[in-house]
Amino acid sequence: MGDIRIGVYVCHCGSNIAGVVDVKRVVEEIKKMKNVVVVRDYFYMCSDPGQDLIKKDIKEYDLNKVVVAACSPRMHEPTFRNTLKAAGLNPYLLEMANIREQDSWVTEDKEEATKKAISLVKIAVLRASLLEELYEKEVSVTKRALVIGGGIAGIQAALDIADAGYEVYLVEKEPSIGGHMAQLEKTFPTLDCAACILTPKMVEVTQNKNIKLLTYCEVEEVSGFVGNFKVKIRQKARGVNPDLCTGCGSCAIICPIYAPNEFDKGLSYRKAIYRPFPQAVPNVFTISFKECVLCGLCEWNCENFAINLYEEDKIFEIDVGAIVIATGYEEFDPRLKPEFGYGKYKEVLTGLEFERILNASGPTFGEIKVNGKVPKSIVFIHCVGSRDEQVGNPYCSRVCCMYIAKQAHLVKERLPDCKITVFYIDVRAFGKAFEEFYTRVKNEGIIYRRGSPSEIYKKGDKLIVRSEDTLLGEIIEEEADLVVLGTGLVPRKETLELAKKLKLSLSADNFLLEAHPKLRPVDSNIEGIYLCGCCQGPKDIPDSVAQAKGAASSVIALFNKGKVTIEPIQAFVREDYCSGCHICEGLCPYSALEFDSEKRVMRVNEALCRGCGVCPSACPSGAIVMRHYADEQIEIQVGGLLWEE
Amino acid sequence: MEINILEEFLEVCDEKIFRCINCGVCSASCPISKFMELTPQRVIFYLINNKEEVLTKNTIWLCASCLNCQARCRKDIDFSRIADALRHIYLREMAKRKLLSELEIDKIKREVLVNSPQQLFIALQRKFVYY
Amino acid sequence: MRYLYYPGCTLKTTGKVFDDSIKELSKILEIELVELPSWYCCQAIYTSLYDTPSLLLGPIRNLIETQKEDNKLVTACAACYNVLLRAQDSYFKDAILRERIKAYLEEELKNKIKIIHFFELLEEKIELINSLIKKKNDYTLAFYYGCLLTRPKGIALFSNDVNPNRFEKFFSQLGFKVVDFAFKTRCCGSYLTYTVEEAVRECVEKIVVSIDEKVADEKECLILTSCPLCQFNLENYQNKYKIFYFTYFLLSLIKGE
Ligand SMILES: Cc1cc2nc3c(=O)[nH]c(=O)nc-3n(C[C@H](O)[C@H](O)[C@H](O)COP(=O)(O)OP(=O)(O)OC[C@H]3O[C@@H](n4cnc5c(N)ncnc54)[C@H](O)[C@@H]3O)c2cc1C
Ligand code: SF4
Ligand code: SF4
Repeated sequence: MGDIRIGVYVCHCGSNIAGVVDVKRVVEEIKKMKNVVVVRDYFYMCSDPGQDLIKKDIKEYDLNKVVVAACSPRMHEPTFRNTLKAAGLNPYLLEMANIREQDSWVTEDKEEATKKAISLVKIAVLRASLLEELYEKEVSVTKRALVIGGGIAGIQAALDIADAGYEVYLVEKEPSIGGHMAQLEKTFPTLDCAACILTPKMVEVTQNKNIKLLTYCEVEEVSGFVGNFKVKIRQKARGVNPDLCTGCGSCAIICPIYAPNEFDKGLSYRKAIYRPFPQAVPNVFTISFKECVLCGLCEWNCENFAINLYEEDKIFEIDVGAIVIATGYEEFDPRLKPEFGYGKYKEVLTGLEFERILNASGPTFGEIKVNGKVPKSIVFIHCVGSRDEQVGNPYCSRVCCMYIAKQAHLVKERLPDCKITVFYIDVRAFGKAFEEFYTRVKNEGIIYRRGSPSEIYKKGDKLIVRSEDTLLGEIIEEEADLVVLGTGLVPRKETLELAKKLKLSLSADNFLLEAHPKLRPVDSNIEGIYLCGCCQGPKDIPDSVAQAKGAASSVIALFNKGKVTIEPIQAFVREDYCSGCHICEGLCPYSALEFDSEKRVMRVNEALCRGCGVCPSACPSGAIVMRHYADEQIEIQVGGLLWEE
Repeated sequence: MEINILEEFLEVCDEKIFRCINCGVCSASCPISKFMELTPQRVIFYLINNKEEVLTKNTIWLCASCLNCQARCRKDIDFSRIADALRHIYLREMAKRKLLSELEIDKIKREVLVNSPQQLFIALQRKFVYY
Repeated sequence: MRYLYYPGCTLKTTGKVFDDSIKELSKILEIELVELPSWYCCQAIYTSLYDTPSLLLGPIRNLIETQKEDNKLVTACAACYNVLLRAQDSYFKDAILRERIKAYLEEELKNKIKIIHFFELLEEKIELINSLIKKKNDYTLAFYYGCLLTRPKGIALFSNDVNPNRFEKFFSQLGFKVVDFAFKTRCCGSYLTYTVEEAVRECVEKIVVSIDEKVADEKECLILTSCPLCQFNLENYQNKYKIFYFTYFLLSLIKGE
C-alpha cells in the first residue's frame, strides 16, 4: 500500500450548512490533518460542477480516499460513490460526514455548530484512512412475481405484470378474488356499477396464461432477498377440488347448515358449503369447516365427484423475484363506539352493510328496507372511527365523505320522499370531479348539517340522533328510521402479521409504510417488495389502481434489468479465529450463517447477508468482521472524538 | 370587562384548545347543553378567537364536570377543565374589582338543601368560590 | 383481610344508608374495614387549575395519612373515589405539579396508594355472597353507573371497557336478570339540582326513558346505584322505578328481607 492521499470536500448546501457553520474555518482546520492532500468547499457539492471538482482532483492529486462533508449519506452517498467510480476510484473509498441533519439543522449556536462540524469531518478523515476497496456482486433475478391480496389493487398489479410477459402468482385468502370492491353497489363520483367494471378484470385474471391464481391460500413464510425470495404458501383445505367443480351449486342446495354470509356482512345467510357471490372467481364452491358437520350430503349430491370432506391443508414453496403487497383494509368496527348503538339496534348499519343493502344481489335484493319497512328518514354520520383519537385513529379515511354522498344520492333516487340528513364535520371532496358530485347531491335536497353526533338512542320505534348543529350553535335531536355510520378504513389485522413475517415497517397509523412519502410511494422499506392499494393507507379505487400500476411497473423494471447488485457491506468469517461455537447462527435475522462441517467453522452466505451487524458484535472470539465497518474503522472514529489533541 | 381572555386562559390551563376541530361532539354529548347560552364547542371557538363574552354566558357555571364530552372528544380535549379555568378567571376578576356577590344560598329550596348529599353542596361551593 | 376505609362526608350524613350497609356487609363477608384515622374532605371535585396546586392538597393529604399504615385504601363514594384517583394520578404524572404540591406538605407521598372501590372487594367474594343469599327475588336490575366511576379514561374503575358491564356480570352471576341500557353512564345532573332544576329533570328523564326501552314492566325493575349523588337525583326527579344503593340491595338479599 502506498501513502494515503485524502481529498476533503465541504458543502455549503446553499445556506443550509453555511448559514450556521463557518465553512472556511472547517477547511482551515482540516487542512492541518495528516494525509489530507486537498480541502475544498463549494456551494453545492452534489451539483455537476461540484462533482467535477472531485473528479478533477482525484486525477490531479492522485487521491485514493475521498471525504464529503454534506448532508445525510441517505441522500447523496450513491451520488458521490458514482462520482468516485467515474473517476476510476473504488466507490467504497468514500466517507461522508453529515454536517447538515446532524449539525446545522439542529444546532442554533454558530460556534457550537462549527466545532461540531470540525469534529465530524475530522473523524470522517480518520476513518477514511482505513477504508478498503470493496466489490459489488451481481445476482440474477427470478423473473416471477408474487402478488398478495386479490382486491382491485392486487388484480390490477397481477394483470399488468402478466401483460409484460412475466409469470405471476396471485394469492388470495378468501375463496374468491374481488376484495371490497366486489361488495360495492355503484362507485363515486361517476356512479358506474362496481361489479360491471370489476368482473371483467376478474375474468381476465383466469384467462391470462401468465397468472397462476391461488385462492383460499395464505403466505406462511418468506425468506431470501430481492430477486430471490422463497415463499411458503398454505393452501387451506377447501374440501372441493377446483379442477372438478363446475360451480353448479347442487351441493349448497342440499347442505343443511346455515351460517352468516360474510360477503353480505352477516345480513344474510349462506350454507356451510358456499360460493361467496355469483360472479366469484374462480367459480368454485368452498366448504367452511368451521361450520361443516361432515354429514356428507353434499358429497353424495355432487355429480362431478369434486368433494373431499377429509381434505387437509397443504403447504408448498415457490420462488419469486419480487412481491407486491395488496392486502387492502378492514372496515372500522363501530362496536368500539358503543354510544352509536351499533350491534344493539338493528337499524344502525355500517357503510359497507348499507352498500350491500343497496346492491341488487344483496340481502334485500336492492330494496331499502329496515325490519321489513321502507324508512321515511335516514341519517348518515361522517367520520365514524376516523379523525378520532378516542379509538386511536387520528387519520382521515378519505373515502367516507364521498361514499356517503353516493349512498345518499342512491337513496334519493329510489326513495324520493325519504328525508335524508347527513351529519358531517368537514366534507373532503378533493378528488377529480368530487366537488361537482357533492354539489349535485346537495342540490338533490339532501340536508347537510355540520356537527358530529354524540349518541344514538331509541324512543319508541324511532332512533334519535343527538348532535349539535355547529353552524347554528344549537342542539338537535333528529329522528330517523335508519342510521348509516360512515365507518372508516382501518389496517387489516392479518396485514400486521404479514408485516411481521416480512419485516415490513408500519407508519404511525399502522398501515404499511412506503420507502419515501413523496418520492417512493410504492416501494416498501425492503427492496423487491412493493405496496399498493389500501394496505398502504386509505384510498379510493382510482388511487388504488394507479398505485397498483406503479408497483407493477417497478416489478417489470426489475425483471427487465434481470440482475440486482448486492452491496458488499457484509460480514465475513476469519476462519482461523472461528471456533465453530454456533452462537452467531441463531442470532442472524436473515439465516445467513451456515456451518461448514468439513472445516468446522461458520460461513456467511453472501446472497443472504444484509450487513445488519448483529453477528460481529456477538462473536466471542472476534472472528466475524463487518466489511466497511470493521472494529478498527469504528474505533478510530470514536477515538478521534474522545482524544482531541 | 375588557380582559384578554385568551391570554389569561393560557396562563392557568394547559388544555390544548387549538387542536379543536369544532366538530361539536362535546356539545352533543353534554346532557345539559340545551340549557347553555353557548354550547361547549362554541365556548372553545369564542375562546380561541379571544372573545371575552364567554365569561358572561351561563355555560361555564352549568358544566357539571361529568366528562361525557371528554370521553367522546375526537381530539382528546377535556372541556370540563376549560370551564373550570374560565370560572376561576371570572371569579378572580370580579373579586379584584370587588364585584363578587355572595352565593345566594337563600334562593336554593330549603328541602333540597337539607336533604341533598353533603358532597353535592360542597361541589357547588367549590365551583362558586374563588381561590 | 384488613383494609383502611375512607367514607367521605356524605356517607356519614345523608348517605348513611350506604355507609351502614357497607359496614354490615363487610362484617358478614369477613372484610375488616377500619376507618382511616383523621380523614377529612376529599375536596369534592377534582380541579385542574395549573396555577393553584393547593386545590389538590385535600386528597393528597388523605393518601399520605393512608401511607402511614398501608398501601391500600377502600372507598365507596363515587365522588371521593374519583377525586382521590385523579389527584393521585396528576401527582405522579406531572413532575412540576408534584414539586409545587410538595411545597405545602409536611410529608411526601412516596408510592402510589392502591385505591380500591368497595365493589372490587365484593367481586372477590362472589361465591361467598352467592351461598349466603337465602331467597332470590326475581327483579330485573338496571345498574346506573353515572359519570364518576366511568371517566376519565384510563383512570376510573370502569373506564377501560368500551361499554362497562362489570356490575351486570356480577349480578347475573348471582342469578339476576340485568338490563344493559344506553344511558347508564350519562350524567345525573349533579349539583345543578340547586340552580337549574329543569336540567336535572331532563337528565333523569333521559335515563328513565332509556331503561323503559329495555324493560317491559316497570314494577319488576330496580335501579341500583353506587353514588350518593346519583341516588339523590334519581330519587327526587322520578318515581317510576325504585332505586337502591347496590350494597343495600345485596344486604337485604342476604338478610332475606
Ligand atoms: C362503504 C364503502 C364504499 C366505498 N365506495 C367506493 C366508491 O364508490 N368508489 C371508490 O373509488 N372507492 C370506494 N370505496 C373504497 C374502495 O373499497 C377501496 O378503494 C378498494 O376496495 C381498495 O382495494 P384494495 O384492493 O386495496 O383492498 P381490498 O378490496 O380490501 O382487497 C384486499 C384483498 O386482499 C385479500 N387479503 C387480505 N389479506 C390477505 C393475506 N394476508 N393473504 C392473502 N390475501 C389477503 C383480501 O381478502 C381482499 O380480497 C368504498 C369503501 C367503503 C368502505
Ligand atoms: S373522508 Fe370525510 S367522512 Fe371520511 S374520515 Fe375523512 S373527513 Fe371524515
Ligand atoms: S368534541 Fe373536541 S374537537 Fe369536537 S368541538 Fe368539542 S372540543 Fe372540539
